Amino acid sequence: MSAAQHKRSLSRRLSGQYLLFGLSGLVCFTLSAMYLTWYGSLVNSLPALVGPPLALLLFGSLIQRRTSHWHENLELQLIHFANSSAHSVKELRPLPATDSLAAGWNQLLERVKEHSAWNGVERRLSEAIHTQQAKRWESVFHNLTDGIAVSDADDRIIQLNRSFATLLKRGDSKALVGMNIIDLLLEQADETSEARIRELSINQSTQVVEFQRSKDPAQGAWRLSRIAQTGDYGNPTDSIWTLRDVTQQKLAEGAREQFVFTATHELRTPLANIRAYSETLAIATDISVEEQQSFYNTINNEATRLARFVDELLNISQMEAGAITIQKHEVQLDRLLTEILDCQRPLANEKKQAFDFSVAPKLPKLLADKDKLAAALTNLVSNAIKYTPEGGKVIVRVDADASRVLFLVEDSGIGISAEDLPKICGKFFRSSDDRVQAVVGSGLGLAFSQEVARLHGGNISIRSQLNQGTCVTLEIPIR
Amino acid sequence: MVVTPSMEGRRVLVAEDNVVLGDVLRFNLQRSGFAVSLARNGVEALRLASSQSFDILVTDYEMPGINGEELCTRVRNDLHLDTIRIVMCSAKGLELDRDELQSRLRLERFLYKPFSIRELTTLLDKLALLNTEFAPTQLIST
Repeated sequence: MSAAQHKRSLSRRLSGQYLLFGLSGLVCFTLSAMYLTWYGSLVNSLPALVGPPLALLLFGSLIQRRTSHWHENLELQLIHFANSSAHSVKELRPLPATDSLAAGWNQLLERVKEHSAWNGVERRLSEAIHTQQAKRWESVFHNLTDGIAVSDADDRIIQLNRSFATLLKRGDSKALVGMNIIDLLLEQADETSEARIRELSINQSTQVVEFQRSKDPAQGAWRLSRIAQTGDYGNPTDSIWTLRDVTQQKLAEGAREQFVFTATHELRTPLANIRAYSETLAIATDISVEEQQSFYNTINNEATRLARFVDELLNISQMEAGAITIQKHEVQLDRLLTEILDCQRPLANEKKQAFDFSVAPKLPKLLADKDKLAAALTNLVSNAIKYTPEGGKVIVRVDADASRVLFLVEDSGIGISAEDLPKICGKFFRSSDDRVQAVVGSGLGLAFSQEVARLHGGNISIRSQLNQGTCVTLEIPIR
Repeated sequence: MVVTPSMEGRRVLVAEDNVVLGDVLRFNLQRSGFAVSLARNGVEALRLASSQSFDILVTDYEMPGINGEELCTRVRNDLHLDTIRIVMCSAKGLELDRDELQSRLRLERFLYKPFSIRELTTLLDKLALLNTEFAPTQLIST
């Protein structure tokens, strides 16, 4: 078949060929019939009459079949493609012919296959990227410090991250899948928290609750939130749970609250004395001058105590803000110590304590912030007096060598337990010992003194034995 | 403590660990005609309350050993001093449940420091008057 033939459509070609061979067969049959009728041998030569037209028609059908062969091939391929479930372009075959139909089909097939190959590459690439992203998200999910879990409508855990299991003191997060999340949470909650968690399980709206393992927040405190998802008809489906450890926060809040209470108490006490004495002076106009004088002195002392506490509060607030700075000047140690000890001696005398002071024969010149150093030392000495019972002893010693000055404050007081010793310099820390609780204090004195030592490049070390006494050493380098 | 007949209903036990405040309370109450015993802590106050008779107890809340709350509880429950009138004062603030303390320990008044000396003596005068006018023994006889 030549290319020129294909300028006409398939149906026209077929009908042309059909007419040509049909008419040729008919003409051939008619002429043979007339010839044989003429010689009177029509009946005898019937096979000769039918044979040629039949052969012609057979030949024609062969030609027709050749004409439509590639079209049929195309049709079958397309039907197969349409019926196959995979719709794979790979199953389509190019036509081996060289005519324009085959060329067109083959070009089309090539294009489609090329396109499909690119699609494949694109899909594989995107799958690779997605897998990588999914892995990254999974890693993020597991490494969050907050615990996250997803539960179904019946509160059974579907998915959870490692932190969620760790926060609930469960090692294996996979073992928790399928467990009831409410039961799991209740295991960690004390009686007062239980009701709150149960409330969370009943109420479907988004909620946040805090719960603790026991009354003491140090045992563990958590903040739990539930975000309930709803289905198309407003029916509850999954819930997303977030769990956060708020133990440190709770402890800090408690300590801060305790500090405010303590500070209020510390402010009210001298104020109460000042008010009582000044009012008494106003009421009792008939008392002796000596008695008046002693009342005025008391007011003065209490006002000094109040001022000192306000200074301490300011120091603390500076320390809290990390804003303590020191200004070093040459300090005359003997004068500084005399001032501090003169101030503290009456308190020791009041408790009938032996108050001794010894100092190295020759003290070096020290570069330090006089006010801050005085405040730090005052804290140490007043602690020794406060936590030593009546009749005990408090000894202040100052030693020095070429590189440092050591201030030692030793007492025969109640001491510090081995358990409390590491925490004693922590901000707001106060021992739960009744004898400590009976004494008013902010829990910040030692923390402040240590900060002052640190800013001078020195440190504070404490040796103590419960019920025996304590020795606190403040070390300040000379340069 | 010297008690004269005019001091009927005016025997006051002051429990205050703050030495200076304790002294000024005693000074003022004595001047106002009260017979004052001063205890420097809860233990001493409890000992005095069990060995002597008092009409009024003025106590601080925070004291070493036995605090004001425990002192009042023991005075009410162990010593069965039902008629003693108690005034509690404290430098603590909101951390105390004042109403609960007042009803449980049957306190006449809860004073926050700093309080007025004049206010305290006026209050104790009124309580002393109640003690003499409506003493339980008289209530029973009428």
